[in-house]
Amino acid sequence: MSIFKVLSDTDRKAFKAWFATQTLSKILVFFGFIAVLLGLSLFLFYSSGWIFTSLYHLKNFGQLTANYIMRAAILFIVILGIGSSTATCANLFFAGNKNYFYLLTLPLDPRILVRWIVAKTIVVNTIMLTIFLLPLGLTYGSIFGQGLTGFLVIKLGLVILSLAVLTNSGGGMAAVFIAKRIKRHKSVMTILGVIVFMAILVATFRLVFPGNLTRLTQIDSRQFFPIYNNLPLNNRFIPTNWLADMLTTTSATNVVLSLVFTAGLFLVYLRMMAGNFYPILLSISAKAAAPQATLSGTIQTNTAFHFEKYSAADALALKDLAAIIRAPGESGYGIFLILLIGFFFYLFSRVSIQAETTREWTNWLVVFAYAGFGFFANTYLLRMVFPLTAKESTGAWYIFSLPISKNKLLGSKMLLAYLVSLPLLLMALLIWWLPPFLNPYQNLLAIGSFITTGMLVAMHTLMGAISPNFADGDSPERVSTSSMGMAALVVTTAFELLSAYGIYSYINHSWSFERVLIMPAAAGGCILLTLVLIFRQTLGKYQF
Amino acid sequence: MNRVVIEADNLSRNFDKIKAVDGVHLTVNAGDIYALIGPNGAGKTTFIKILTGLLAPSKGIAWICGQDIAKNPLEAKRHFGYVSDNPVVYDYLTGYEFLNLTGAIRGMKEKEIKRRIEELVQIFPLKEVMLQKMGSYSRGNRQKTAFLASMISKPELLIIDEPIAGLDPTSITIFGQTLARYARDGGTVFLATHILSFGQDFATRVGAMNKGRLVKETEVTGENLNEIYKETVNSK
Repeated sequence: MSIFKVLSDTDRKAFKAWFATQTLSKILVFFGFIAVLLGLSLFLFYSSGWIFTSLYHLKNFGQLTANYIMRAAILFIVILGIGSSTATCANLFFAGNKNYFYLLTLPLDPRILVRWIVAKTIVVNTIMLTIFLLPLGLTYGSIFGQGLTGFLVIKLGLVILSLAVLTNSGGGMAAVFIAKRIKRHKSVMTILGVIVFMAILVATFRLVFPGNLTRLTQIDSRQFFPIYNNLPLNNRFIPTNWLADMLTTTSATNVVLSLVFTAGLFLVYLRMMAGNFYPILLSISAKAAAPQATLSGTIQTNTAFHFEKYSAADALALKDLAAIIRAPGESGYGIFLILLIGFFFYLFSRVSIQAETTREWTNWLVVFAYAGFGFFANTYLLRMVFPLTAKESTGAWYIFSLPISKNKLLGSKMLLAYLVSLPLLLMALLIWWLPPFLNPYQNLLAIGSFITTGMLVAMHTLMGAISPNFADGDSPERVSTSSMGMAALVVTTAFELLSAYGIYSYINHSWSFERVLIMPAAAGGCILLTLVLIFRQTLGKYQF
Repeated sequence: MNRVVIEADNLSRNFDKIKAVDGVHLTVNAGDIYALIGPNGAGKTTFIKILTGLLAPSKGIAWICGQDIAKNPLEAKRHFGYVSDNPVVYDYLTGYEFLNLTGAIRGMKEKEIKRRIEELVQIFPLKEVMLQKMGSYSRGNRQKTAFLASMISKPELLIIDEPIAGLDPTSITIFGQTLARYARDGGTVFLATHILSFGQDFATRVGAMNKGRLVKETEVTGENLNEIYKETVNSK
């Protein structure tokens, strides 16, 4: 049996074993995820079709604008793809999969394992990229090209595969670079990494939408080309443009340039991974186990958390805070989501400035912004707050054998939940001053989203404590996607929708200011009361 | 008459059709080091989990220092310290932080916690190890740290599941001597072990379990535990 067959069988069995518990909820989550991706793909297909059709009537200018959109789309996809691949690959190093250490004890060439890991990630990347790029490519090709031909499909396939290889190689090389240098201060580096990534995203946004872009709509055709050709994104040395131009032009040069660039990068990446994979894994695990000597030769005390100074409930909350602060994945994810909300509203404010809006359109934007914030808040809370109780994990025996009541334990989780959600609550109060079109409603939106978010925090904490999934406690993603996680998502989304409906009703003058605040607060209160009652019923049912 | 610290009355626990613990009656007095022995799957860990309130019994009652563990869990838990057979706790905390946390949860004052930790870290040569995060600990060091945490509030009773798994011979001796000293000072120890020699050297009483039932109970007075174990395994 070939080694690739053995490795694929092992992965297949691990996947089946994962599905063996909580099968129904996992299947639901799986199909839900597929449905969301397909929905997104269809949305891209129809919206890009609509945009490209309207541009088609503008003849040459329309085609140039469409080309620009394709270049921008591919650039964004590459930036997001490299960011995601960097995180995945860095996690591979820092998480230290035990199977890889076991494989190291076997007479197996490490390069084979590296190739296997790379091949798997490229397949996953290709699937994800297909969902995003296929609809864009198909609509562009059918409107500005020769229609839906086999040649278009081949070109699209080539571009998607190149993008998958490119993002995987770029992200993997960045992860190797980072992991070779940072073996210990993961928390700081994760946070820095997230900030750098967001900065790159903002810079890319400015590259795609420079200040002089809006001038193109106000000038005549003679002035158009000099400005268009000098737009920063139209620089011919940007490698992602070669890939975009494979779809938008018939030039063979771009094809050759793209393929040579991608293949070159991939070969360098493969060589880099083959030479560094195990040395980095071993080095990180050795560093983790070694005493942390300071420059003066003394041992670091690592006692940043002085639990002895606190009451039982506060000490428990502090312990969970330590878990988040000392787990780079956790803190990084939290910061990433908070920055994402900031980025969302930053984009939102720019769009609103440039749009000539009607009152009705602005009203919809208000509701969209409010619901958008709710969506981000829920995502944040489902990932950061819901798993708090389950995160006791395999050490749950310890806490439940101590003389501390489950109510007190819940109190400590609640305290921590609000601490962890503090940035979110602050954003709920302040972010509405960013987009200027929200002007008449800022107070309402701030109070409404603050109250809603505050209640969502309590809901997620309670639902996470009703039937905690201790078995998967080490993996917050799994806890969030368990059946209880899905139930929490349904309940909290329904509550959010009610709150957004209140805002919609207020700006359409069918609800008063007081009613907008009282109705969701009353509904939230009822939900919380029900959850508390359920929690009290399940108090004595934790079994280990 | 000795004070009763643990009393189990017809304690049973079923998992579907399997009787993991089947009608166990057992009494442990103050000052005893009681070793529960038996083969894998005998029901020792399940029995201990019921005693510590981590599992609810299907039938029967367990009292810890006179408190029904099912009805008054908080009161009962104030009287004992517990070490699980899988002493994995918080990988992201250092050993010192873990001891501080345990002291705080047990309601001890800051000064008392510090003084007690100073005493406890003298037991094993762990001072430098305790400065590291527990994620980097060996199985033996985890076991020792969890043991120290269970002793922090000077409980009347220690319940330890597989106390010496992963310990080196020197640590086993220190561990046994610490338990003996603790029992001499009026403490009580209830432990489950596979290592018969440890029970032989340090236990004062032994109970042998098989297939969920307590097959035999005896004082350890020179009687060979190997014989008792063989009898237990062969019991129907």
